[in-house]
Amino acid sequence: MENKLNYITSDEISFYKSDGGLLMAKYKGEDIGRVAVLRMFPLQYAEEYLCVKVINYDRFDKETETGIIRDLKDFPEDAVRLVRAELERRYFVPDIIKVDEIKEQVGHILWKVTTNKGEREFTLTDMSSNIINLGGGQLLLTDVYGNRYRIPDISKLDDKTMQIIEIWI
Amino acid sequence: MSYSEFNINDASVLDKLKAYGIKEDDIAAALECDLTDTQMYAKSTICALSDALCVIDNEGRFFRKDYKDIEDIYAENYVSSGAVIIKCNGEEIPVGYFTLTLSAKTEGFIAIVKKLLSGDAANEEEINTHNQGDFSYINKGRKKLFFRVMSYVPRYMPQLISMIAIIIIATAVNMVRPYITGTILYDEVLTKGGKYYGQILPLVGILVGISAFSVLMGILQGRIGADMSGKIIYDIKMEVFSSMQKLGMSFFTSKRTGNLLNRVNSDALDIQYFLNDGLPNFIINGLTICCVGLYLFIVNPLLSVSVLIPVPIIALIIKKSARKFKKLKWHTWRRSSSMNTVINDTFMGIRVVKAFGREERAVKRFFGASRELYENRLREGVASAKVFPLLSWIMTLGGLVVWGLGGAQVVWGKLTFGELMSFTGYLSLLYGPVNFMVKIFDWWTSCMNSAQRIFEVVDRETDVPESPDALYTQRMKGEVELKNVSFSYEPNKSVLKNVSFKVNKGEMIGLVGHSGAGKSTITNIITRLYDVFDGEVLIDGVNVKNISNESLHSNIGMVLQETYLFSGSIAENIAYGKPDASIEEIIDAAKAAHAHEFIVNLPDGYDTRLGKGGTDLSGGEKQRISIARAILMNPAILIFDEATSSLDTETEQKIQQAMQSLVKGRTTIAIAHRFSTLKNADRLVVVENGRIVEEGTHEELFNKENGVYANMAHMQLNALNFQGGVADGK
Repeated sequence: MENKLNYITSDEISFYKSDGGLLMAKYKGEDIGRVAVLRMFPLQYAEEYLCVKVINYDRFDKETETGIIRDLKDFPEDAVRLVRAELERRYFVPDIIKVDEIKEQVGHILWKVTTNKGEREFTLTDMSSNIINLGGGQLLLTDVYGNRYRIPDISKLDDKTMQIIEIWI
Repeated sequence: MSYSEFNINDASVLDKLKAYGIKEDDIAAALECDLTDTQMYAKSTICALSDALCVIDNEGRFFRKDYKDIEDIYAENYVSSGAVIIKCNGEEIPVGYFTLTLSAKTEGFIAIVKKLLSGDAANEEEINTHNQGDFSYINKGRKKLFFRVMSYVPRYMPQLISMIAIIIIATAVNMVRPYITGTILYDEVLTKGGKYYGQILPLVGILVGISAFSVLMGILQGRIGADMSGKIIYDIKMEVFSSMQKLGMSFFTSKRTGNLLNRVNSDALDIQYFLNDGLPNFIINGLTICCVGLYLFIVNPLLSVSVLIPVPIIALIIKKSARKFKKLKWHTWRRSSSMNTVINDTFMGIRVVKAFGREERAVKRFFGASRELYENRLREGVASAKVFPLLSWIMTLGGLVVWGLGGAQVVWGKLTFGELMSFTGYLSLLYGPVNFMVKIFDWWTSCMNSAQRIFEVVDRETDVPESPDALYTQRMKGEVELKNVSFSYEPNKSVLKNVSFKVNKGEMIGLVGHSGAGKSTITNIITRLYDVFDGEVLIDGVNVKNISNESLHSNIGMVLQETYLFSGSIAENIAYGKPDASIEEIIDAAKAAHAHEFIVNLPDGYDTRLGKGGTDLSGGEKQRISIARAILMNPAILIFDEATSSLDTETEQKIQQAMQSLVKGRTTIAIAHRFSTLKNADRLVVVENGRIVEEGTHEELFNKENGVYANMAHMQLNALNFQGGVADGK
């Protein structure tokens, strides 16, 4: 394997789904089996610089990198749909649409929210490291279990939520 | 057979399962997943039956697979979720998705299914899961915490009672003052025909006496308060610190633990301030407000009402601006800490900065950070310049209202001039306490937050508990055995998988493998820094979980790669494991470790101070001291983590010799990198990806074709040859 950056072009790779619903790929005519698609800059680029890796069932073996997708928009619709679904699965970070209830209690913030993935309750602690300002009005929250949530637009938050979290941002 | 933690709580799911001929009793364990296959929050349930696995999702879709068709089950971890995947006929099928909230539970469920797959049913106790922390205490609220903080106080009853007495006396005396400087001074002393007309000197004397008395009371209160809160804080700190020491390693390495130093220090300090300043002032100010308010109303109701007009406005302004100031202060603090980071980064990495010629960039970074700090300070200054003049203006206005209304009453003869003076005097006594009362809530909140963080540590149970009937052994034989050990630091991320090997008494084995293979983890579980999840660790045939911590620690010695020397003298450091060692023993150990020679050459010899502000030793010297430490401790079992960094040949030789005197007569488990160590070992155990892949002597493994060890060893040899170094492995 070469130790150099390898951009994959859309005619070198094709994706398909296994019967179990997992992402598989053929690369340069060869079936390489199950693959993972990873964001290399998850905070900056959602669909650019995607790393394609072959996953072996025996997870103790080293995974091998097939190459890098520079920009997903250069790929055919089918591939885009499959890769997007895979990214959705791997990077499960719901967007908080509405804060239904928020309470501050002994150094914790209890949230009851509506997200684009449904309703959810969670707890935040150690706010200075678990509320991250991504810039552009976006916030990333990490709850006590390590689950992540995104607030896409701070300016749309209600007054009470803002009052509670504003000192952390 | 069922597992209490893995029940189905939802009756509707049970009903749906009934439609497929599955009764509640058929289900050995169930995992309620909280994500669907399209990554929406919704419940789907995986059930482990006696012969098959079945899944019913939120839409009622049903899936069933017999155990005989399932080869394996495992969890795959993603960024903030995971999937339970089964492998059937070579194909992987996801059967459920879960958020990280459930990752520990999923791990337990998978362990149960694995047992079912292999045909034996596990006891509930055998299923271990990671402790993800219990967050139920959050709902206990502040009141409970407050009472818990207060529960420390009764131990100091005499101080407490005298303090309250002093507070009451001091407050009472303070209350008399406006009456004297007002009514008595103007109406009785300065007015002709007054009771004490002309007796200015005694009046001044009384005032001097009163002020001296209240200063005295203040000093007394401060002393008693400092004494009491100091003792309370000492108690709390001791409790936190000793609780921390009892906890397993996982507590110290966990991300959620946060800054430990902060907990012992600043959180305890927060509580101290509150108990020392907050609480007594709360009592004083509360008393003052009540008494003064009552007095004013009795003396002159009309004037009192007019006085109270600005109070709510002031309270409102304080409350509103307090939040803003808190935010600004916090931002300033964040900016100043990020500026400190820049300074720290630059000076700690000054060699890199210089080597890359990035001095200018460092200056720019500092400039940026420092400018932000300045701007924030400016904002803070502007804000306080706006709020405080406004506040004092409103207060003045309040005073003017009293002068106006009160003046009119004096003119009408309804009030004497002295009474008016007393009145304004009492009024000024009121503003301070009101200001304090508005702020105390925030103070209380931050104190309770600190208390909560502290009690969280105190209440935490260790994950490596000592069994009540733990075995105590003065001297172990030193036989170590790992039986089918599996372990992971975090849920679903296996580090060791089914590891078994035995080390006989007095034998030296070398653990070999790439970094991250799991060698250090093996030593961690032998010393029981962590407990294994599956399998057993036996010492002299006894499970380490049943051996008392004391005998475990007195019988296992460690020489670590990163030697940590505590602040103190070299002699104290050598005697760390055996504080009562005699001077002769210390010197013997140092001699055996080949450390004696360099120690005596130091100007302060064995008394050389190490640590902060003390002498800095080289890596090789530090390691020899830690070897001496282990020799002095004379453990039955020795764990040696060899440093990877290369040392010069002479030092290396000395360390080798030191090691040889250390290893003699003990069971040794060495994480080895150097050929000399590897060749000295009786046996090598090669670890790769959490499993043992090869076992044998250096010769056997070195000559094994395509062996993992042979490959590693040849690579190292080639590197040595390339450098022109002497390879003693040939």
